Amino acid sequence: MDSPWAIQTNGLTRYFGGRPAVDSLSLHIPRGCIFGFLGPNGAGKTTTVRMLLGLLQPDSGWVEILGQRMTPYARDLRRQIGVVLDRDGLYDRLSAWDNLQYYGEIYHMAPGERHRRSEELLRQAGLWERRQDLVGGWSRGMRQKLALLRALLSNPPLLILDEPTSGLDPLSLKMVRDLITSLARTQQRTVLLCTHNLDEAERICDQVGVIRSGRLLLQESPGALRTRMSLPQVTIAASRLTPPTIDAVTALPGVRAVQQEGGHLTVTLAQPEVCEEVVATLVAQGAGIREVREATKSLEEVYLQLMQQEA
Amino acid sequence: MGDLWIVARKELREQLRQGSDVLRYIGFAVILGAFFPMTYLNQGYGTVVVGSVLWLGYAGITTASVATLGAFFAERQRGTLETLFTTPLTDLSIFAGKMIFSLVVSLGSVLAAGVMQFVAVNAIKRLVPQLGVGMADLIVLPPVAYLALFLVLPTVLFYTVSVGTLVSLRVASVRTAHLINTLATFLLAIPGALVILLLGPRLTMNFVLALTAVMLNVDWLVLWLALRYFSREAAILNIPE
Repeated sequence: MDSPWAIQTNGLTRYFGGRPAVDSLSLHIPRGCIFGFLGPNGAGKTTTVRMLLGLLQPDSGWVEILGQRMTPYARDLRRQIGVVLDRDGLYDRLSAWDNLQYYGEIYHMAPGERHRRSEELLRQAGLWERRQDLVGGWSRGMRQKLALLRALLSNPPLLILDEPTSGLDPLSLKMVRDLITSLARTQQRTVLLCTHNLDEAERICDQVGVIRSGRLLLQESPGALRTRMSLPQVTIAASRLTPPTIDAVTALPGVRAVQQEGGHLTVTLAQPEVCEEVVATLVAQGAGIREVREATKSLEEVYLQLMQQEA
Repeated sequence: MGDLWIVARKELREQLRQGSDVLRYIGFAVILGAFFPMTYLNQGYGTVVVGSVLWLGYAGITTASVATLGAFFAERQRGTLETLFTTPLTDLSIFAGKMIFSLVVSLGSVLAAGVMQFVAVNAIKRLVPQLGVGMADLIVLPPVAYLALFLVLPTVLFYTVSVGTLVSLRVASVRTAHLINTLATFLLAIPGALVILLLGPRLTMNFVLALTAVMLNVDWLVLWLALRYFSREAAILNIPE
């Protein structure tokens, strides 16, 4: 029976010089999911990716990709994975076209299919006119796009992408994000995305995993992470916010903190339900309420908070 | 087998596209093919024959060494080898494909050096006849010399390529790689010297066969070492500067 997981690891551990680079990492990434793998530099993301791809052997634990155990000799399994590593892996002295043809040949694509698919991808990425240029003279952004096209060439069901959008201009960034999203949403491809760009992770990832010092701190959806990591907050725009009014709100049992900035109050609550009590108190104190809005923390704020907690 | 040719073809396309690399290979052929035989001027046909074979061999060895380092070391340095390891290619296909490329280029270099030698010797005979005394008109080599070129030379080139592969995948500096490769090439003098000690310095059939036998054993040993000590992890983790 097919495994529901595109990627599954169990107790994955790898030491370098006696120190664990990855420590008992257990990941479960469902098929069709865009998974954001987050963590500071040196957290163990690259080592994990290398073990997922069978490039490094774990000291203990195992990796299963698309229901099959990954080993250094898993050729058929590798056929099903498209990869962009932190170094783009393009041949500077070959043209964009030749780079794609080489990888197409390696994946045993028929010449006709290889040419058709290369043309389709190059046109989609706006690189068709530059296809005969040597890649050595290309900008980082163009190279990143070509590396991504190479990963997509054989239509693999799983993509492992290490910082695929770094160095891209806003237009290309949107193109790549849209492409990744559409691959997962319409074609049920699974994407593991290593990124430092938390805004990107928040926009496109279904789940995120945060790793630090080789340990997986958590794995959940960006929304659930935000909810779990932060107390509910409301921002209230109001007039006649006098010191006694603020004191009355602060004194409420379910209120954890109150911050005033001009005509705006940011109130941190123990439970979301306390909001009604806060509004009633303000009205009773004579404040004129114009707007009450739920304040949400961004994934970036939550991530930074998490890193500070773990430091 | 198909994968092996895919890798070898890519190497040919990539390395021979670069003008400076092609010029370098042509340079080896010109220098070793045309200039060094000049050192044998006026020394008689026999010496010219031995010298020819020797320098043609060195043209091949030098090219093989540079091509192998280019194929393996440069690929590690640029990070393309790691991406290649993520594909369905086996280590053996990557290994053998690149080795085939190096062997083809070095044999091409021997051929080019042979042509240059032919041109140089004939030019000397025509332009300065007194220096070409004893040289055959078209420096037609005796059969034993061709035997040496076709039997010993491939084994020597194979050795150079295997050593280059072993070194390229483990060391972290291109200078060290070149140094070790050059030293390893000089080690070739040892089996050569042994055979000369046993059979004398003439290019005879026995000499050629004995040298081939010795070199075949050396080749197996080096190839075994190259495969035994090949490590994906070492190639990936120890990224050269």
